[in-house]
Amino acid sequence: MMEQDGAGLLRNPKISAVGIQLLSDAIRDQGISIADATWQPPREGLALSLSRIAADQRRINANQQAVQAMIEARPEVVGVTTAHQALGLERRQFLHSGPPISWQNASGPLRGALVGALLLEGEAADADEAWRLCEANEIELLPCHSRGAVGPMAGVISASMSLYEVRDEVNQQVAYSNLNEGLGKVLRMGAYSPEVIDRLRWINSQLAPILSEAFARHGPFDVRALLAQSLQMGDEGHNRNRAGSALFLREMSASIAQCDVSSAEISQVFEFINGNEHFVLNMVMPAAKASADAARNIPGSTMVVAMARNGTEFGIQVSGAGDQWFTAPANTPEGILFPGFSNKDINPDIGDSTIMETYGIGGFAMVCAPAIVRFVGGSVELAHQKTHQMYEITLAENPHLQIASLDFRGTPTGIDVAKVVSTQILPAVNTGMAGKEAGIGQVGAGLVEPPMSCFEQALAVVAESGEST
Amino acid sequence: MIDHVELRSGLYRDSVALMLLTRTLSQDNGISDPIVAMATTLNMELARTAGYKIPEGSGSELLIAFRAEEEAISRCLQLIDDLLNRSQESTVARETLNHRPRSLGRLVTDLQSDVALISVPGEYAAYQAVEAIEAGAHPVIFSDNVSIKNELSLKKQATDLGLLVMGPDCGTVILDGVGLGFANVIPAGPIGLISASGTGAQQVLALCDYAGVGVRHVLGLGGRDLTDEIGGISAHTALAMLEDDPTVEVIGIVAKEVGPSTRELLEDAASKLSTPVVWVPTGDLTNGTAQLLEIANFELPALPVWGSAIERPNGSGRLVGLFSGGTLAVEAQAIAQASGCEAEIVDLGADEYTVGRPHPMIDNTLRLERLVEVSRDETVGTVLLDVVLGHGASPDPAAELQNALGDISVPIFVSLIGTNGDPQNFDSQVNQLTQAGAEVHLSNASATRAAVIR
Repeated sequence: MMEQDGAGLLRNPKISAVGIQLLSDAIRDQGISIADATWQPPREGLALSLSRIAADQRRINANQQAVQAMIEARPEVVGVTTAHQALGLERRQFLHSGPPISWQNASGPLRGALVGALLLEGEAADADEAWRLCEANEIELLPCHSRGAVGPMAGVISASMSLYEVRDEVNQQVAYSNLNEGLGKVLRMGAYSPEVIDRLRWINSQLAPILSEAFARHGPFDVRALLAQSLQMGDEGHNRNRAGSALFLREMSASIAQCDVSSAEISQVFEFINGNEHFVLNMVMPAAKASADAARNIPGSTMVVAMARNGTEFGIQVSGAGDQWFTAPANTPEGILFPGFSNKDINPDIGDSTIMETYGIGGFAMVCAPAIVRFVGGSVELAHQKTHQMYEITLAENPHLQIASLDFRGTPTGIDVAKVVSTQILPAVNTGMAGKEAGIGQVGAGLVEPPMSCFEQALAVVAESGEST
Repeated sequence: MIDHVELRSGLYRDSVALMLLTRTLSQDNGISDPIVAMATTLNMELARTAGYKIPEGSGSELLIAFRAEEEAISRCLQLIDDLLNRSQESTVARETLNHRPRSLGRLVTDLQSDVALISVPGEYAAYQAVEAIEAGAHPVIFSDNVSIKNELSLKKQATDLGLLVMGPDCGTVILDGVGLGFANVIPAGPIGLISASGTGAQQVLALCDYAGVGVRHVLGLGGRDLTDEIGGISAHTALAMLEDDPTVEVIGIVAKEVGPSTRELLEDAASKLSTPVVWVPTGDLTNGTAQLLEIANFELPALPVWGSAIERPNGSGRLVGLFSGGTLAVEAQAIAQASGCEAEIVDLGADEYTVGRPHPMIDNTLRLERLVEVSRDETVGTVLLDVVLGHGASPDPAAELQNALGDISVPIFVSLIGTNGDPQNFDSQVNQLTQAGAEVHLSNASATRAAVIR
């Protein structure tokens, strides 16, 4: 699309403008059409960062390199492993979603999930003992992202948990996530009652080995191809995964059915997957993570490579700023609550699942999922507006993930912190909502705004890095 | 004809999209029996029936099969790739959607604009320009107060992408007859200008128009491009672009301060062009324009004067020049100084006067205040003003000034920088100014010379 000469400039040039209306009007008075950006100056104090970014000659290429790496990734589920085996987690080490956090600052759902994980690992006989261990700092907490993993909601991963292993041969990346437990009272929402722990044990002992064998028979499972289809079937890949989960089961059923277990056990697996429309979320999340990780550590790049929340803070990581987290207090989502809950039950934003928006789908592809626009407070028209806004803050359109209702336009991909700050348009994030108190579980689903401050801080740091080059 | 058959994994497309794609392919004369479809059992069977040797595949793979002459295979594959990846071409015209972008970069991409006019406050202008560059548009930066570091970096980034940065502080641009910023209306013609000065270029336009010679383009550089700090990066790009435009027969460079090594390199570049290049120094724009016209095989006619200033009553007092155009002020200053006349030339368009107030080319309020002071100041012997017309300028500057000028009892000289086509109506401006007692010149140099001998 780049001009290579003055041809476009010197013959009937097409003009866009930003700034003084009078100047645009003077061009209209000549009978020439001109379009004005509806730009407004961002908050005072951001001009310096934006000017430095503009002077950074690394940025345009660095951002192209970053976004292309993410787009061209071909993540595939290659099998099922365990957190101990793949990540070296020990029994009192726990991964959690979002930026780093201590037990003392952890919110209810994260605390509940940690208690449940201690019970699962047999480190505590009951919830009270687990709670005491945590209070006494007898556990070690690490962000999932620091170990190449992602976890939805509380995102707690403990040593014995089964993990999907997702590999991208294009960029030589690998990422992991645990197996989705279903809806309602589940560990990722902070529930730790016996039924929750029993289900996790069943996942480890029954589901994981069967899937492992099925993957071995089927061969690597192409997640990008699955998403390409599910986005055209009413999913947006974050809050709605009904089509994706069905496609997964459809493609894998023959391989699962051949596993050397009883038909009752096979049937149980099918039933479990059928009962969980987010089953595939824990595969698409590490797929997005593996893709985004290929874009990390490119000097000068202002592209976001992770957005994640720990229930207390929202954090982002940016390609040109290494592994540094830029955090601010997490907002509380707004949306639709399950019966029996009210707004005061909602925990602040939590989970690594914003890796989907980082990858350009979820809230960014809202128009793909008209069925759930009510979660995000509106109409299909509003979903269109949201997706159009996301094209303003992203670097590219992903040709592999297309939006049918926009004439197969690629999804808006690669959030640029400079564009976010300059336009003051925040990434649109879809999310599940966890109950505030430990043990409650999911209370609804909806939409949440990331704090602008994360993007401003990140911009300032990348801008500063350009000064010294 | 040979058969090309392949299975691609990880490439899902909707079946209807693939049917349309296959139909497009079958309209190509070089391609026979094309099948591009997901490798489902049904589609694979279809391909076998069509006589293709089909390997094992799964429904998540994409089957591509067609027949073509061997030498045409790679072209066909390219065509298929292009069609498969054509995600951006929406048949929904983006401008008809009711979403109005906040981002200049998005707007440029959506509308595929060639040019982005940027007039946001200076501290935000560099970032807007880089968005324009990123999206593939040539930025025209009207804003001032952009750092030299930003200017240099923008120009380097643009050069890498074959783009021209006009500005910062670029007041006047004409592109194929379309004026951006402060620009006079002039027919298209054989001259292309490159200008480091907005009002300097406007003076050249006024004189060319008077000589009946058209100007198709004015490519503004911003005031610092020709210094050695920037090294004429935009000037070099602009020269190459005008050289490539067959309608440009002569190139004029309106230059303020030019760094020595920048001048050397530009002269060297100019000497290699087939289009003649003429320097028009802002120290004497009128003389420079005369030379420019001469190279273009035209002549600058005798300079017109309308009305005549009153005789100065007591034959003494200093010259006060109240200018809206910076370059015109500098030119007047140089001429007054050379003549030994005691002169106070003020550029009311300078930053110190325009903070929080409109530029005097847009609104004469500031100048009216100064004219009242001048009318009461007995040490003033002569008044010199510029009145700049064209797009972007005040719709009727003479009307704004008329009363204040009428209250002045000393001789008044006006440089009226405009063309016959300007929206303000040149003749009406002349009439109002002469009725107010002013002597009106088309050339600022000529007005200044007339003022200093009084």
